[in-house]
Amino acid sequence: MFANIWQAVISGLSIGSIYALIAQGYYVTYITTSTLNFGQGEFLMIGAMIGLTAYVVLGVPFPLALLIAVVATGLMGIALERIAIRPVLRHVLTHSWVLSTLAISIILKNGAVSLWGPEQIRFPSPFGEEVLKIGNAGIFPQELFIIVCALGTVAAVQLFLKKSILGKAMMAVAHNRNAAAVMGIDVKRMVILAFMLSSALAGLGGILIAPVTFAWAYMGTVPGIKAFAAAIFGGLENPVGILIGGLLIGLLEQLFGVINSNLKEGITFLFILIMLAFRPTGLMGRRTVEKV
Amino acid sequence: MTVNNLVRAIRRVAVGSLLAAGVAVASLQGAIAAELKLGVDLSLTGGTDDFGRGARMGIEMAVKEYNAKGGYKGKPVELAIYDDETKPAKGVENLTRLITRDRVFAVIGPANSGVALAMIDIAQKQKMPLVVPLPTSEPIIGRYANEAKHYIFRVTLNDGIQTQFMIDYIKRKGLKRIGLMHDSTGWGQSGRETAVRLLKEAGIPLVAEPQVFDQNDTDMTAQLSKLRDANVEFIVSYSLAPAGVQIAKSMQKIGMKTPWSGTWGVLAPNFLKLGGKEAAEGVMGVTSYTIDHSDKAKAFHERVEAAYKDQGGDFFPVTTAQAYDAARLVLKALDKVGPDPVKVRDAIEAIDDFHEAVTKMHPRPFTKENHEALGADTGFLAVWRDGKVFRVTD
Repeated sequence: MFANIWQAVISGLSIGSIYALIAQGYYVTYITTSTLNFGQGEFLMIGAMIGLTAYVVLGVPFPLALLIAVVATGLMGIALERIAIRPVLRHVLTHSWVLSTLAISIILKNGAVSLWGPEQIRFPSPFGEEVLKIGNAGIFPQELFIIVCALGTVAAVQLFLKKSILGKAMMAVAHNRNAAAVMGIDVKRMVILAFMLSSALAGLGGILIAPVTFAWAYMGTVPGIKAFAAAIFGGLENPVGILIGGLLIGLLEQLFGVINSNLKEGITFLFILIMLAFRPTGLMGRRTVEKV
Repeated sequence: MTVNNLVRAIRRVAVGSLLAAGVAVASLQGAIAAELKLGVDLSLTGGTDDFGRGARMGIEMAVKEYNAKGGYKGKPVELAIYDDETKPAKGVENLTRLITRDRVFAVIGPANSGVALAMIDIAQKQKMPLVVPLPTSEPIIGRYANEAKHYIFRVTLNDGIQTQFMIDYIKRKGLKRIGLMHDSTGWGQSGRETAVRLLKEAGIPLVAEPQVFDQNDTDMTAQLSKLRDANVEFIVSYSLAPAGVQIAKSMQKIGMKTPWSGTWGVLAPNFLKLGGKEAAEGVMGVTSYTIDHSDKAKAFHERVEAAYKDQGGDFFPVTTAQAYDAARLVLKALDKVGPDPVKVRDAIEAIDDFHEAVTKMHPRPFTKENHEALGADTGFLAVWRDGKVFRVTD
């Protein structure tokens, strides 16, 4: 029994770190513009497909393929901001970005089907298929790489936002848009940067998980939703909360799977529902006291 | 001036009559061709294109061999092949076109169950014999089974019968501790019901709860661990190729070596493409044909390998073999009654001397009541060995 739980912990951490990585993308755009890209899962898919094309079809070395995928999805993030966010944000109270980002995601999915077909395609792991042992739990090298990369990326994003000039400027916009503008920060550019970063994170997630999930046009939908759950669960404005939220969802799924495979996702989301009833702003969300 | 006009008039008349003659010849050709066209609809692109491309090779080979022996009363049979792109609407459109424009005497196809379920209504209504070489969904034959004249025939193992072969294997090996896994789709759920019923009838109860997974799950270690805790000796699984690969990989992860079998989907080339040879090794599935199950099969495999070297050889043997047998049944009926769809239907139903089958088909594949050429005693388990599918012999 203990062996099963330990295996579930290892598997859960690997799956959860993917959710955490994608969910960071939601955080970055939310704090700067109060919008989310609901096509985050499809940007992930595009990252995987571009990575696949570069790595498998064109034979580019893996690190370079990874870079190509990240840069390409980053650039797509700029286009996303221009096409789906900026035009609809002209009205202050609008929620049209929900629809416009969803529209982009549907277009991307359709485009991917016609470009790469509807079937799963194998993405060979650059680290091979030899099973590693942690205690008595097995893990593929790629899964270990995902955990390391996801945690590393989350830390790097934090470092960027807290320490670099550009990151500080972005945080300033997040904190108070008007004040930042008055201080000479180009708000528009910071917003573009936020979407670029968010999309690139999704693209990175895509090329990381493709060797585990296969690369295909519909690969992003479920991780996109689970990552959204992770972001809300952890607290949309708290990057550490999001990280924990992602890992926890992955863990819960696998642990409940050990108890009853029929109900694992149902119970996981029931758990989230109950938690939100007690902490509406998420696990580590700030509780703001509104003065009336 | 007048000469010019005259020339012009003559030219006009000449062109006109040439055109008329051309049309007459064309329609005459149409009439002749209509008598000897065999229609084919398959998914050559889209989701089940592997199945469609494999089947096309078998049909083409059967027709080529038939024509080489003189065809029908000296006339070669032509093939009208259309691609349904794995879309039901396109399949219906193709079938209509085959019936009304190509005026074929029979149709072989499609490769996909969803497409087949959309096509059978038209085939039945238009009295066009439709020989289904690959789709496994039960209602394809069930829907019109009680009509006075049933126009749909099937040359593949249906979903319901496949489980039986796994149970047969379990019984033969005297296995007692059986586990069950299935995906959460409707197909997986109905598979679970069939398996539970058949196991109960055989007096072999499941030793653990049936384990469920989503067809896109990537980690099955939790489910497999539970089966391992129950000390299962064999696992019956309802999983398509992608989930099947994840089961195999999760087994590697936890070092589990329990033998398991899926339905015929896990024997598709897609399984090898997604999992690689290592993950596929030892995985079993249900089939009606392997390249080594009989001498006829061995010879057929070599012919396909040689003839289609440029298309990947015999890359999906069971589809090619079943489609080959389907085409040969239709051509045999043609020999007996000529290119009339209604008569061909009657003849297919009455064939009782089909000894040349490369699959495990009986010499009398169909009766009025039974339109399933492959059934209870014509399937068996096969296993992946070094990237190829072989018969399980023990």
